[in-house]
Amino acid sequence: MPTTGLVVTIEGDEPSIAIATGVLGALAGVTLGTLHGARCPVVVETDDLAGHERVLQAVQRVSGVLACELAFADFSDVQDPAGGRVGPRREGVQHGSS
Amino acid sequence: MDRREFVKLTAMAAATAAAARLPVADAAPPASDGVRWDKAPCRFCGTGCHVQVGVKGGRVVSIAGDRQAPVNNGLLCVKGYHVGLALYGRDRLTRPMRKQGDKHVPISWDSAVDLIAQRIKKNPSGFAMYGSGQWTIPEGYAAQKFIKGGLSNNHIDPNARLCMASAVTGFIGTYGVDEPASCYDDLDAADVIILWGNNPAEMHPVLFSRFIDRRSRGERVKLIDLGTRRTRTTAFADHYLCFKPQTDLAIANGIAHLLLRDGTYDKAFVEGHCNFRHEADGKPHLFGAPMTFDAYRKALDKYTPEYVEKLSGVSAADIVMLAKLFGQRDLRITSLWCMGVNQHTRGTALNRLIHAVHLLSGHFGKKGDGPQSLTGQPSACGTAREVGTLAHALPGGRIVANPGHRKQCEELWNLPEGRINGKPGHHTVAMWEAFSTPTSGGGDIDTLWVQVTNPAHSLPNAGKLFKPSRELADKFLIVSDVYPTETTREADLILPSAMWVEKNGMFGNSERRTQQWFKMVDPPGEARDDAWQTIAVARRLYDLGVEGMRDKDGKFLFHMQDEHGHEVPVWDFRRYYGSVNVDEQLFEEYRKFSRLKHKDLAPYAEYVKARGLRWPVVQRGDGTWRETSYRFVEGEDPYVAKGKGFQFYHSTSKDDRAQIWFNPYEPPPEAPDAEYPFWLCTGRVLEHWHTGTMTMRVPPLRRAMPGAYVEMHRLDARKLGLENGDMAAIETRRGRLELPVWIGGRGAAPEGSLFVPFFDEHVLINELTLHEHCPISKEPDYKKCAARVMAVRRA
Repeated sequence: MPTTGLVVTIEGDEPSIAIATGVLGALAGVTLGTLHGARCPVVVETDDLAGHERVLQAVQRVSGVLACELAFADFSDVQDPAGGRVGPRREGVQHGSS
Repeated sequence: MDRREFVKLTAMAAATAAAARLPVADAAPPASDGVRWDKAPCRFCGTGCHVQVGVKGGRVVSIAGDRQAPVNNGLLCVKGYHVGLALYGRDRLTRPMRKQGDKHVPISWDSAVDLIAQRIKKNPSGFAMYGSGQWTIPEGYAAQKFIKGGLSNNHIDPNARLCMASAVTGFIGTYGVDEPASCYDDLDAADVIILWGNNPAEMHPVLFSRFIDRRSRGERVKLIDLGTRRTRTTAFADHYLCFKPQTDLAIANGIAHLLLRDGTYDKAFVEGHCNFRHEADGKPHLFGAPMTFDAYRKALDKYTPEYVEKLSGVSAADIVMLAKLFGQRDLRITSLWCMGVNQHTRGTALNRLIHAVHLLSGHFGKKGDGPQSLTGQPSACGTAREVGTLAHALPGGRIVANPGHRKQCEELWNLPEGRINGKPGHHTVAMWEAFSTPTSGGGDIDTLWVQVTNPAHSLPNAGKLFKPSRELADKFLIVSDVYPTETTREADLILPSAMWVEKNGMFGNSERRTQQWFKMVDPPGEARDDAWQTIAVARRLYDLGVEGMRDKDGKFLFHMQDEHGHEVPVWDFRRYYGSVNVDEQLFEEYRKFSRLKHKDLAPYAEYVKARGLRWPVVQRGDGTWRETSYRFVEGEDPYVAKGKGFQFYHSTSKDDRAQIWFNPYEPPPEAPDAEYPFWLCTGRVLEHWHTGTMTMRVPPLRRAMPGAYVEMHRLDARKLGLENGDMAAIETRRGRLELPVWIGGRGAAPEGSLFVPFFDEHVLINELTLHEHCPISKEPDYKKCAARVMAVRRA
């Protein structure tokens, strides 16, 4: 269950920031902290890395989000961090061990 | 409270502290559930962010921005976020392997070390090492000492030659000594930030976030993006000035021309602290010849705004706008640049001209006001430049061609006089040309050991520089790496390496900050430290009786002893981490070299405590150590004499003055023509670092950016009948590749231009790039060559 603490910077005036934080807060797996000017602490908690990735992308796509930076990430109970579906690497680059 | 709740609260506390910019007593989140935290610089770019690494059960399980690190103030970018996962790709190299036929088969470390030693013994002058700005400082130092102090052939060069060699020659030509005078603090104070072919929003995002943060707090910071394509950075720019490739030289001269024409240059600063310099006979030269102020003015005469507009495509009004900014004394102007300036066939010249504009206008030496070059690798400065792993260099800013410098090194290394060869070794392009040329045809390198880099993927014009060697029976390629790469695929011998926090290390970032970390987890299988690999081969040569592996008292070149004075056989990996800290011993030896050029380093123990220290680091009267933010500035730099104001104490003219250079605009070696009508530029993307060997193993990063593409303008695509996602063939005079087209993506090439990122091993764009290089720095130009495009098929 990966957990991430983010700092999201939002552009615009107070009403614009309020709209953006409203959208952010409605995302599944997202918990907002107290806004500090244009910077909003955000915690993302999901069941797996792939789901985490989707939420992080959604956070960055929210209108008004200027920057999204990491403060903390925990993946201690992710079973296979290198797993997940990804395309094949170049054929022949893998080296056999025997 | 259960563990999940604790982790969630910890995440919120960390994010809140960073968002609120709260001063914090603790660098790391609180320990819980057996997670142990320690500091390390990030493994990726040259920014030098510090991370806190959480370890549990022998694995890295958490990452946090280090709240006590001034570089990143507790924040990390998407690559830093995933740096822990980069250790755990499924295909880590875990055993030494030798090529037999088409396969690589496991061999023992003992056999591997012996094989290398025997080849070196047979022909020591035909052996070369090719490393990188990802070598830790002790690793690079060990390799440097082994080659230059042991084998006496100087054939060692880092891939940093491909990314920042032009910055080195620019600094040396201007100030007489390498590396920036200023630092990242500038980003917190500049009124104007000018980006010279630089895209920090993707390449140095944590630095760019300082700018975003200031703007979000209502500060007025003007951003000017001088570039050849729109990037993510451009979206934040007040002015985007799109110039024709190579004409950045003319733009810099145009600014200087106007500063003189309008009398807005800083007369007092120039008269007090600067000389003028040029390449008198028109031939490239590192130090050049003096010129008068009048001759300088005359040389700039033709760079009128109209002439510069004609050359560059940037409007005369925008050239005037730039010059007016530089002409204002009360503004603070920071210039940033990286590969766009350095990977340039006139890279040295352009580096000099950016410095020249700042010196001429007096925008130098104040917080927020100066030129700051950035690096792409975590220790390009620390290892390549300061340790001196370049083929012409010796530690601490010395050069092999200087007899006095050789003598100093021989004394510090306790070597017999004359051990160090005075002839510079092969620089990167020459080294690989020599390796890819038959021995009978003059190719004098027959054994090449690559550590911490992937040249089959990253060398320019790889079809000429890399591939031919693989068809030559007497050429033997050794590669130390952590993952299979294009280079290991072609290697005769593969050595599995430890990575990042699997070993002790030290890096030096772009702002002269030296950083240290300790080993936190074990490497997989039989993977071992690169420095150990070098020392083990050196010891085998010592045992074989090779004289160069002994100092003048007969001691081993890497003689190390414990606190009781007993020699520790660190060449035996079982003893490498034990009664001595090899990194500390190598660093303390290296530290002695650092004072000649006033790049003083503190004792190792000081770096253990700090989040890096910017050299020169000098000891105060009370015994504490003080770093330096700004060089050559009275009150900041401890080596500037009282009353001087500014003192360029390594001045090439020996009068404490910096050099303002004139270099003319010169056309590129290859430009679009009827046959190849497009410009082709290459570079990086946010998600992937360099050749993607680490970041492509991190599933989220790989999914976010799974493959390379060709970015092109909508109108060009329409003319060719191409749409988004269609496959296009890109051809240069050196090769052909097929790539999907991306129009209106995160970047936007102007009409007549293409951009292809180089991270993707499926499409080796460097088989198409030029290997023509700056005649002074020898750094190739990856940013411009001529190409053509054809539609292949609908996707």
